[in-house]
Amino acid sequence: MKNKQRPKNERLGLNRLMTLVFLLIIFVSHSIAQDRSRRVEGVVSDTKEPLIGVTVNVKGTTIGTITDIDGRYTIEVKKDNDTLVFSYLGYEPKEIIVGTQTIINVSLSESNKLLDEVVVVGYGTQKKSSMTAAITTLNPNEITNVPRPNIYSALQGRIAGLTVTEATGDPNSSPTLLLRGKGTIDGDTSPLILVDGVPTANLNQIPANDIEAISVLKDGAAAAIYGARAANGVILVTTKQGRSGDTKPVVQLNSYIGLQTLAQFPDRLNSYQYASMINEIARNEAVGSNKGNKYPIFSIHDMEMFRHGVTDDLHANTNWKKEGIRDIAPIYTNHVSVSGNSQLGRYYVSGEYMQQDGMVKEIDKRNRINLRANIVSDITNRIQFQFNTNYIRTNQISGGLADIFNVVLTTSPTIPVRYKDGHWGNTIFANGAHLSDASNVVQNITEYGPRDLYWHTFNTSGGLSYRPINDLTVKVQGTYQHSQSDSQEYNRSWIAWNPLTQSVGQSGPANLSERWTKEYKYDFQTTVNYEKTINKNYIKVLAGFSTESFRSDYIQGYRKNFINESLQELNAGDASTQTNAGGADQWAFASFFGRLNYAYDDRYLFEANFRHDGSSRFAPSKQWGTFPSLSLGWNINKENFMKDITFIDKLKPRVSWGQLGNAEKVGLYLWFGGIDSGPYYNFDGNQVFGTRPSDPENRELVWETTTFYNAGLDGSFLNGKYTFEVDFWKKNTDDIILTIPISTVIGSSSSSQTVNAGKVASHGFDISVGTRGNLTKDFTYDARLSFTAWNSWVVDLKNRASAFSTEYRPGDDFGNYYGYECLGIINDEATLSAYKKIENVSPYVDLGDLQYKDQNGDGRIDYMDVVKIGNWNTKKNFGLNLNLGYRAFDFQIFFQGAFDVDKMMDGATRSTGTYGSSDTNKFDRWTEENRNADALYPRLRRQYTHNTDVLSSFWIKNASYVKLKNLQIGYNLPKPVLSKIGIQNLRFYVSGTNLFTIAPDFLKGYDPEGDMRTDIYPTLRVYSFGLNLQF
Amino acid sequence: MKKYIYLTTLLCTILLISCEDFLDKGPLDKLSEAAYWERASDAEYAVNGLYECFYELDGGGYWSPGGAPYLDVCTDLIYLRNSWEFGLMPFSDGSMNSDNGWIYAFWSKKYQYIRYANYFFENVDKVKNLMTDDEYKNLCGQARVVRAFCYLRLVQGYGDVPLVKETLGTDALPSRTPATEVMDFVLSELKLAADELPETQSDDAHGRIFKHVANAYAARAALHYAGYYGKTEHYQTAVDALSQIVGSGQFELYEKNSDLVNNFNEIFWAANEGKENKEIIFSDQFIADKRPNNISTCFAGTGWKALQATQACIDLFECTDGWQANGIQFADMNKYRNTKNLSSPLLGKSAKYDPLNEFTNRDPRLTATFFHPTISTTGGTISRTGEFWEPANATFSPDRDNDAYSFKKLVDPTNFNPVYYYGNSENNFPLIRYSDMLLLYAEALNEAGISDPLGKTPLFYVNAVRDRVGMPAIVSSDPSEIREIIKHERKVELLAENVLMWDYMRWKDYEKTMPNGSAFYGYRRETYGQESVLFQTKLKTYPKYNLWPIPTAEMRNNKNMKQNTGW
Repeated sequence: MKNKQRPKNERLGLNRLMTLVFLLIIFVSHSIAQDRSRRVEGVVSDTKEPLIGVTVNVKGTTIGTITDIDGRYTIEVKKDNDTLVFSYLGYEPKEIIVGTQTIINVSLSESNKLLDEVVVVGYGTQKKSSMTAAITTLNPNEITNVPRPNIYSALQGRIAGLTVTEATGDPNSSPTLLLRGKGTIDGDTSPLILVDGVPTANLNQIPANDIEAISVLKDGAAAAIYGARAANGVILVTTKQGRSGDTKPVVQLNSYIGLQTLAQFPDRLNSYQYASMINEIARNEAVGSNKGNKYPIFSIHDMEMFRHGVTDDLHANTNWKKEGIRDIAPIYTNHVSVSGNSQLGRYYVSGEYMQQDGMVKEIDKRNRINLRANIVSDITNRIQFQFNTNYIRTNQISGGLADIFNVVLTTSPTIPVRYKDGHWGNTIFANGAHLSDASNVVQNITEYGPRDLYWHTFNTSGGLSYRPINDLTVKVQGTYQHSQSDSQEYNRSWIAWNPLTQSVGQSGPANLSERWTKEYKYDFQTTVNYEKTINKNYIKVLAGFSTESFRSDYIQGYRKNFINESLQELNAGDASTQTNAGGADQWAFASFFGRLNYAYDDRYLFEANFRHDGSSRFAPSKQWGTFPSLSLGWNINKENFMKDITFIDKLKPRVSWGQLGNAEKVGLYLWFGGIDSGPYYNFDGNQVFGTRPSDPENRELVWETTTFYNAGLDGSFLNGKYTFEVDFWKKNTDDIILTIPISTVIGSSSSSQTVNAGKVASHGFDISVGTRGNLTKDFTYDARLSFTAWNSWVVDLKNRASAFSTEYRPGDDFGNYYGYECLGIINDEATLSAYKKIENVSPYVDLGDLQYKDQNGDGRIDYMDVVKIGNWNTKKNFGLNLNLGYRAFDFQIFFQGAFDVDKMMDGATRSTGTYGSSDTNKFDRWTEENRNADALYPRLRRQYTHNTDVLSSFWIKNASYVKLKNLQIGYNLPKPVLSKIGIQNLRFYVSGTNLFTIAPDFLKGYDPEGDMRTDIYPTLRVYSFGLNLQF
Repeated sequence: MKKYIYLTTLLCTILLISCEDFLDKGPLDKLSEAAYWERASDAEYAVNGLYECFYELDGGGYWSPGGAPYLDVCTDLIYLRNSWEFGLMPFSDGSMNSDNGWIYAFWSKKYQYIRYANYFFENVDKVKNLMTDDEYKNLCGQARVVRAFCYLRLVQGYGDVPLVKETLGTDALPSRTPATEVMDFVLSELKLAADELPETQSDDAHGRIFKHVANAYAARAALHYAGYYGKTEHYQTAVDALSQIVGSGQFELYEKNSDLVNNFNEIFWAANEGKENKEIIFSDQFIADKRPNNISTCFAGTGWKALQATQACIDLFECTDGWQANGIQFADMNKYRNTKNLSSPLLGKSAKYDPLNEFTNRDPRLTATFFHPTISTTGGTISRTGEFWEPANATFSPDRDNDAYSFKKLVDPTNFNPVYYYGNSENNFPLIRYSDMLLLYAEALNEAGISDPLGKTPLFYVNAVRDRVGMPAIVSSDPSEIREIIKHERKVELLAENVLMWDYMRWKDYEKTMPNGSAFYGYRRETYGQESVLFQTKLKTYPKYNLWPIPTAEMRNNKNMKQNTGW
């Protein structure tokens, strides 16, 4: 049976690789052994730390090397009187005669020229000055003390080109990342993230303190080395390593405790306001003889009780926010690391424990443990062993928290938490009778679960790097990732009590479902690096290949009717109700890649990348795709004619072209077709097997290709006092893998098919401008503004973009809201009667309702009158970071904002009449008594949807905002005091996150970054106190 | 250096070779077409996969555990308490348009099952020689009934629809086939199926398609063809099919319980759905927990009571002495009546009628179909305590935010024992019931004006249905009166069984029963000196509302598709 086939290839890659690597090692060692020259090695550092990428040359020869990430170098010399030349941008060069030394450690001193950074790029590092692609790096120190468990929140606004949206405060969810617009549709647009060279989805679980560097590869030239998965951009993260200079262990402790509150929350109605509104809705609904009744639902008696605050089982005035939501919830994190250089090698070992309580009472808790050990060890002078391992365990309640807020916001205040006899209140009563059922948030919390989601991931990576000759490095790395999650959802039995009849109205049994998932991923990569400087010609070649394979399996079980509420394992449930399910997925990915760098005299820079990727997501003959890139740069400041213009440290224009693919968005088996099976029916009380043909497959699917153009300019002036980076970019995506509607008569269950069809395009620019310096001797400043602007639009999407589509239209921007243009609230009889004459207008329309515009003037309101009424994409955003230092104090102030963005009112905020409660925004509405045509809401109605069912411009709000995202004040204890007690560094700080939001046009009580809905977890404001200790 | 090049070349070659199958990763939990159609059971499983198409609870959209038979909301009999619960609601009140989600779901689900059935016919011959001829014909017959059923529903709802007999490529843009051609296909397929299928069901709970299921759908199709399209020759087709069902002697009306009310109510209980229930010919199968329905919750759940009757519906139930004894004309009752202005037809006519106790001395089917609201009045204040229903061991207090009557029919007591289970009913939903067949037979005979091959009169069959609930026999020789009698009998017998809406469509009775602007009221408050409450005004125009619109999703994507008139 084909479907039973085991994945026999999973280990093949490893076996073959290891064999080949050993062959290579033996072979090359043999050839090296004949070389009689002697080896000199050492570490190059400045006063603080090792320098990476220092060029070491034997003077007067072509022999040369550069220092590695730990500042280490090894070089072959022929004679004792050879001279080594150490040169590094931003430092004074140094020459040393070798003599008889075999270890030469060198300390370079900074020149008055700007320090040149080394940037992590795909499969290697590069000097910033020689970079030709658009890459932005982030100094992790900026984000380590942000009191959020997830570093995505901290990235917001700090990287030009990266749009981070934190739509909710739900601690169980992550903000979304979007790099340089949307180059595709129907699929994930988040960037590819690699941690220590391995693709991973877990960056949001990694402590910021473990991160050494973050590089964001923004254009085609930078990302092409990751080929088929790079179209949404690439983020490279490297974790910390021990430093060779630290012969004594360095211990660091970073801790904070934060107090979280809701950043904003709508005001709720009290019982009297609520009941008045329900009566008003009923009056609006009423026809004929019932119209005059002032108390159609809640009686005079009810209203009087509400007005005077007299309460009983049927007349409460409950503040559900107070009942279900905490005022303050704590979060704390302790991170400890030990690092250094020992006989074992350089090591970095860390552990973190994070615990966060959320805003929902009792059940909103989670914690996380991170452990990491990174070791680099020299086996011989030419062979280096690297071993990274980390373990993450998270424990959380498995979701559903947004529902709690929805219940808080929509449950009627007239319901008591408990009736006098102790039963939970969950019915709205009016005029002494049952009106509607409702959820009780306190009951939901008390009877919640227990639910638990445990997630473990174990990630281990081993590598060998071998340098057979000076300029050549061969590196082999294997990584194994294992994740496992188990979730348990227990729902207690429940009853709905009717206090009128003193009986159980409804009840449900307890049930339990458990689900276990495991995932394996194998990743192997081999790279060969060759680097050489000949006179003024610098050349560097990289070639490599990699394979990845993945498999996941799950199994789940369910039972209900438990013998006793105290037993909450599957065995205690009724076996006759049990169900189970299971399944598995797999995919594989293989790649060849290469890069060529060439520089002439550090002035003219050239880079080419190449990637050939194969993916199991396509039909066997369509699996492979090729992704090239080219880029050029010119260091103008190094030209002779610039010699006299000393205020310019750096001025580098660069251009690039590259093609990228987008593979992850394609479903795993779209090429497969096949037959679906399942227990689709039952006879005689027993489920039977059924089969059906799957939706039609597409064996012609190929990669979609994004062609990326980028032009940038980097500049630095007055010794780095002013810096800027500007990039203009454009990208076109062809062969979009697109789900297009097909005739529903064909009978595909989705009425759609996935094909390569259509094109989209985007353009935009990123700007980062910085300045730093000293105002006085004691007062330092460092300010940086990042600005991102982009737009993406439809070029051609076949049937998916039609003239009247409410999703995409040809030539239109992504993210458009399409709906009727609202001409306002109908406020006079003449308008009403004219409007009613228009065809297809609901015959039930009346004063106080919305009037829609007949755009095409055909005397009929229908789908052809639907036009663009807004755009929800955050296309323009900025971040402004100010770091100020005064003596021992430091300040960080961070503003973030977005503009030119709209949001729609949706769900309960758009609804104009249910028995659910509302927020006080609804005070501003059209009523018979107050005929305000400019009101925020039309007249309230219940059994009627003319105003609310279709989207109209009436419900669109401007969501531009500015937020004070972070404010931090730190104090460094004086070093002389600390050194006496053996402490190198101790800093205390206080910080506030999300301190205020300015969004003048938005619905009150809702976050403009999120949606105007009641079923989302509101964003959080956090006040924290922390310390950074090093000894 | 050469050695490196060799090595690298070798390395890449090995990898390239290994990558060929390294990337071969198909799904692990899905059958490939190449591995299917190799056993006889493969054909059987493919047929099992078709049965879901009969699920039309929730109005016939996609199956989800939570449906109830809502379709009669589109008639004058039923009022939907919560307008958002059922997508076809706008069709009922006159605010429908082609964007409606149920219109789309109903359409696309039928075509989906047509594709499955077509796929079956394209492949079943691959395993034909692995089974007996009877087994082969049995499977083909079942699939044929499924496909014909889907087409019947499409024609009933939309009129002309594309007739597709094989699986289409994804670039197909089919256009509409005249309804007559589709109906001819449906009838010939059902006739063929009736020949292929066995005489009896192979299961005990009426879930499997057998010969008379094909006959029953043939009769329904023929009556729709004859009624809606005026192809009166097909009354004979209906007579041919129905005389086989009635003449087979396999079916009889359920009469296990001597209490007339309970007997009618219990036909639909899970406890009574075994082979001994000879009234149920074919039913949609449910089992608790795994594939439950939600009828009991929708009808009788606390606070739900989704489907309710207006006073107009209650007025259709005779007193136990029958309308003929009181001189009430059936034709008068089969059209729109404003119950606020018009008193009960029984008032002043039947001595058995008590306006203060609507449910006493009435056709037992009234008490079997609706919970007794137990309305009483003291000093001008009306109160409704609701019926205490023994099987459910709970009091159903009618909700007091409206004036309607709540359904008891199809509510299953197993839902309430020992506690009330939410959304977990296991009672099968009747798709074809013998009383329906008897009434259809009477109708076909009456319309065709031909003599019964079984030697009876049309009214004989109507009276058989009435006799089961103890209602007096009806006497008439006027075919047009008999037509009204049959219509009336169907309304009280088949309420909430997803049958009446299709009847109204083929009778073209919408305009008569729900003229544009007609108003529907709750229980008759005038009896207690108050004014009745208006539930709904139906602003429907005709003939537009005699068919549904073609879904916008299809109109947008298929340039060959034409919209129905008025939509």
